[in-house]
Amino acid sequence: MGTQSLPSTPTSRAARLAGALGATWLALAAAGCGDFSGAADSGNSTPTSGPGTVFDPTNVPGSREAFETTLYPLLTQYCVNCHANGPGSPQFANPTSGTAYTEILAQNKVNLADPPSSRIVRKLIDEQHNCWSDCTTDANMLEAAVQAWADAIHFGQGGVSIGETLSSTSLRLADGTEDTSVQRYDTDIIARWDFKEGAGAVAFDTSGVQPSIDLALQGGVTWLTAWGVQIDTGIVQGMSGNRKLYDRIADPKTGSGQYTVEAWITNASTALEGPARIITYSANTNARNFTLGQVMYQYDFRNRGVSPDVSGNGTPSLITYDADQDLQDRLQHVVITYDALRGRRINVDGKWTEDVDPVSPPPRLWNWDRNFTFALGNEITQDRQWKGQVRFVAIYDRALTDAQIVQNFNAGVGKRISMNFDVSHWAGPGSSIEFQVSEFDNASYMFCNPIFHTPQPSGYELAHVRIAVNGTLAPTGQGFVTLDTPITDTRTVLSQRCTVIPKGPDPATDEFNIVFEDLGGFQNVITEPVPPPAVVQLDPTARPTYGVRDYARIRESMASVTGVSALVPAIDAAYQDLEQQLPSTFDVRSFVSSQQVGISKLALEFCDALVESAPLRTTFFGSFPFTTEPVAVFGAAATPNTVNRNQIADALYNHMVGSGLTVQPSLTDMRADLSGLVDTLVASCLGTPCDAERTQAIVKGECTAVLASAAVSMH
Amino acid sequence: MLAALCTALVCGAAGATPRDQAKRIHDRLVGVPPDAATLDQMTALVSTGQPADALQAAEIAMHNPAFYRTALKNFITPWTNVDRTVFADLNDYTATVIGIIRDDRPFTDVLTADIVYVGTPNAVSTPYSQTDNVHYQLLDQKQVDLSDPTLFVGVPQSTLPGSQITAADAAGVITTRAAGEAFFKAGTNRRMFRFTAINYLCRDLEQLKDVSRPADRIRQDVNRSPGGDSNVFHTQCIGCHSGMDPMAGAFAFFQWDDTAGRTVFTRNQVQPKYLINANVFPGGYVTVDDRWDNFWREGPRAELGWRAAASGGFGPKSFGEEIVSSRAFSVCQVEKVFQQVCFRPAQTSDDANEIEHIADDFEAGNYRMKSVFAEVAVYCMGQ
Repeated sequence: MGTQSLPSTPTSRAARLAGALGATWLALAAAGCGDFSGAADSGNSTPTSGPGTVFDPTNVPGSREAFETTLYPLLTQYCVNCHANGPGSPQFANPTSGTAYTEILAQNKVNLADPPSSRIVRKLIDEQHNCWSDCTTDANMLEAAVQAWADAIHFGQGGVSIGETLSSTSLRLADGTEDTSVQRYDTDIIARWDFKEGAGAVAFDTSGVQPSIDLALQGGVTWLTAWGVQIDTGIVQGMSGNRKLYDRIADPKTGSGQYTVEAWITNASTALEGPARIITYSANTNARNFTLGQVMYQYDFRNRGVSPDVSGNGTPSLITYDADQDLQDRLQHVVITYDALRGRRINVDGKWTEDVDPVSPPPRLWNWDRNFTFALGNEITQDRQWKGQVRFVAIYDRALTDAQIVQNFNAGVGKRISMNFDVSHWAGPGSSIEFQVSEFDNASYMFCNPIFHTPQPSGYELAHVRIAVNGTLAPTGQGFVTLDTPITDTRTVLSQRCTVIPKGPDPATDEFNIVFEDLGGFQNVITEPVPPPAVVQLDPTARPTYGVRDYARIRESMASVTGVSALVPAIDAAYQDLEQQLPSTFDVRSFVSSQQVGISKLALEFCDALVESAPLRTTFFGSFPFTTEPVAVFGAAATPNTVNRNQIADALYNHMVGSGLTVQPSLTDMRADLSGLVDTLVASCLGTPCDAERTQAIVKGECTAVLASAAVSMH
Repeated sequence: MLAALCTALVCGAAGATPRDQAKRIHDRLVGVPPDAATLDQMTALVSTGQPADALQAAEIAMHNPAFYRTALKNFITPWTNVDRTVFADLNDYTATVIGIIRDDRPFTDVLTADIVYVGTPNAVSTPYSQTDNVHYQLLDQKQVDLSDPTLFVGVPQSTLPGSQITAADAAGVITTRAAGEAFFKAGTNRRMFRFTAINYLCRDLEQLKDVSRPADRIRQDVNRSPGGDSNVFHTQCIGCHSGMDPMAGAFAFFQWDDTAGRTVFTRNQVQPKYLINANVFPGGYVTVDDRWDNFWREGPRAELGWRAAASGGFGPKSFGEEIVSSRAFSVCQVEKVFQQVCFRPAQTSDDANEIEHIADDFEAGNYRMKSVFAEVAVYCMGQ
C-alpha cells in the first residue's frame, strides 16, 4: 500500500511531512526528525543539549573541528608512536586528522555522553596502558579533553532523538508483566538463593525449608541489578543452618543419599585455578563435603564419600575434559548431581558433559561432616578465590533427571517481562509490538522475540526496527534493523532472535520506545552521513632505499648470471638445505650474518658447477688456460699476469655486476680487489708448485666472491 | 671486499642514470638482474624520458620467466596461508593469481571467475587433484616456465575432475583447494572473510571494526557478555562480528575435509560449523542458507567505496563481486605492488596521489595487473 496521510497530532510533525511529500524519505538525523539540530521549529541549527538531541557526532557541524582542538592534540603528542600508523590500532593519532576522527568514533573509543567511561580513559586507569606520566593524571587529561569536545558540540546524552519519529509509546520495565509461562522444576529444593535483594549484606535462602541458610556477603561482593551478586574478592558464606544440607542429604538416617546443586553463573575469566571455589560445603582447603570449582576451562566436582578411594577432601575430582573447554566466561547453567547409581555428573547448559566419575562404585555420603559451612566464591579459609557472577543457586536432596535439568535450563534465569508497546497511533487501534525483555547483566537489557499484533493486518510494511532507551536510539546492539515484512496477520512473529541493548542510568526509571522506519504506511527512514573516501595511509618511517633479494630471487639471480641451471643436483640439494637460512624479505635491516653465510655457500655451488663444466666456463669466461698450474696462469703478486687476471675479473664483472651502472662498483675497483684475492691464493703455490686444479679453484673463489657480494644480492 | 662492494653500491644511489633506472625496474619487477642485451634495450627506452617508453621498458622486463616463477610466486604465496609465510609450496591459489596476471585477465577475476591455472601434460605428468597438491609441487620443483602458455594454462574450476561446484559457484581463488585448506579448515569460516579482507582490501578486522552496525546477523556462538560484562560486547566484539558474520554467510556450504584432503561443498546444506556453540547466546542468528550481506556499506566503512550492484547475495561468487567492485580493492592492489616494488609503503602525499592515480588507471584499464606493476616500477625507478 502507498504512503498514507499521517494523523495530525502534536507529535507527528515528521510524519506529517512524510505524508505531505509522499515517498519523500526523511532522514532521522536531519532537521525535523529530532536530530542534533533539535529546534527544527525554530530553524536553529545550533545543537542543543539534553537527552537525545544528537544522533551521531560525525554528523554534527563543528564536531571534527572540536575534536581537532581538544582531544587530537593529546593523541598526537602521547599516542602517536603506536596509534598513528601502527602497531597500535585504531589509528586515532593518525597524522591525518580526518582519519583519526573517523577511527576514534568508529571504534567507540570515546563516550561523549559520559566522558569518564570512554575507553581511552578507562584503558589508562584500568590497564595502565602506556601512560606517559602517572596513569591517573594522564587519564584525567584525556577525560577533560573528551568532555571539552562534548561540551563544544553540546552533545548531552547523545543518540537519536525519537521525539517526533515513527515510534511506539514509552514503557518502563514496571509497565510490563512478568512472563511466567516457562515453568521450572523446583520439587525437592532444600535451599535456594535468587539474589533478588539488590542491597544489604545478606542473601536470603528462599526455599522455605528450615533452617534457612542465609548467606553473608563479605569483601568485594556487590549486587547485580539483574538479580545476582558479583564476586570480585571475598566470600558469600552461610551464616547459620549449614547443617541442613548434611541432615537432608548425608545423614545415614534422614539423608536422601543423593543431591543436586544447580547454579546460573558467569565466570569472570578462564584463567583461575586452585580449583577456585565456585560453590563449596567445606571447612578448609583439605576438608569438604562437596565443591564445584574452576580450573581454567574445566569444572571440578569434589565429593566426600565412604570409600578408601576417596579422600576427606573429596578427591579424586570429577573434572570436565580439558579439550572440551566446558567452562566459559559467559552465563552458564551448571548442574552437578550425585546419586548412588550414576555417581557424580556435571551438566552445562542442559547437557551432560559426558565425563564419567572415576570413583566406582559411587560411595555413600555417610562420612560427610555436619559442621562444614556452605559458601560461594571462595574457600571458607578465603584462600581459593573465584571471580564472577552468581545469578541463582539451588540445592536439591534428589539427583535431578536429565529432563528436569533441561527444563530448568530452558526456563532461564532472571525476571522476564513481556512488554507490549502501543503503536495504534500509526497502525490503527489495538496495534502493538510485543517484546520479551529482561535485564541481561549490569550493562544491558535483552530484547527478544518481537511479535506484532493488530486487528487490521492490511498488508502494510513493517520494517527496520530499533530500540530507544530514554528517548534516544541505542548506539550499539540494535538487532532488528533488517526486519522487513508485510503485516498480513493479526499476530505476526517478527523474529525469534534476541539482542542486547545498553542500559540507561537506572533500570527502575529507564523508558523504552520501539522505533520504525516503515509502519502502517508511514515512513521515516534513518540515513547515515556518508564518510569521505578512505585515503591512502602514510607511513613516513625512514627505510633503506635498497633491499636484499629474498631466497628465491637469490637462486634465480645466481642461475641467471652464471648460466648454470638451479636444478643441478648439487645446487638443488644445497638450496633445499639453505632455503630458510637465506633472506625471506627484502628488508635489509633484518639481514644477519648467517644469511650471508648461506648466500656464500649457494654461490660456491653455482661457481663450482660453472667452472667444472668446460662448455659453461668457456661460454662465460672465453678461452682460458684452466688446465695450467696457477702461477703460470696468474703470475705472482710481484709479477702478475694482468691479461689473464683481467679476463676473469672482466667476465665476472660483465655478467654479474653489469657495466655502465653508477650504482654498482667500478670495473677498476673490482679488478684490483680480485687481483688482491688472486695474490693471496697463488702465494702458497710459489714455493710448492700446485696442480692445474688450483687454477680452477682460484677462479671459483673469485666467482664466489663476486656472486655472493652485495653487487648481486642487493637490488 | 664484500663490505666495500656494499658500500659502493649504496653510496651510488644518488643521481641514478637511465641505465641505473632501467636496471632498477628489472631488478624490482623480476627479482633478477637483466642480461646485457635486455638492459641495453630497456636503457634506450628509459633514456627517451617519455613515460610511455619507460612503461614499455617495464613490460619488457616482465617477459622474463622469473617474473612469474619467482617474483609473483613469492608476492602471492603469503596470501594463501594463515601464517602468511612465503615458505609455502606453489598451490592452485598462487598459480591462479599468477595466471590471471600473465594472461591479462581482469584482476577482478581473482575472486569471481570460474578459473584455475594448471600445468599442461607437457609440463608435468601428474594431473591436478582435488585431494593433494602434488601437481603444483612438481611444477615448482621442475622450475616449469609459467610464462609459457603451452606449459601453464587456465581451465574452469567447475570442469576439473571431482569438482563439486558449478561455474555459478566458482569464485576465483576463494574456491581453490589451497584456500579451502587454509581458510575453511575447522573454525567457523569467518577466517575466509578475514583473510579475503586482509589480502584484497588491505584491511584486517581492526581497520573494519564499527560498533554501530546492526547486530542482526551475529551468530549464536558469540558471547554477548564476556566475563559477565556486556560492555565488552558493545565496545569490542560487536565491532567485528556485526559486519563479519553476515559477510561470512557466503561460505556456509563450504568445509575443508581433512581426511579427504579436499574442500567439500554441500549445496543448500549449511555446514554444522555455522551452528556450533548455540548455547552461548541462543537468541543469536541461526544460519539457514549462504546469504551474505554487507552492513559496512553504511556508516564509517562506506569509505571503502562499495560499488557492486547488490549489497547482498548468496554464495561466494557474488560476495567476491562485492569485494572486487570496491574502490578499496583497486587501491589495495596498487598498495601491495607499491610495497613489493618500491620496498616501502606510501610515505608522502606524492606517493598517495600516485597510488590513487594508478588505481584509477587500473580500473580504466580493465584491471590489468601488469600495468600496475609497470606504473609502480617506473614511479620508483629513480628513487
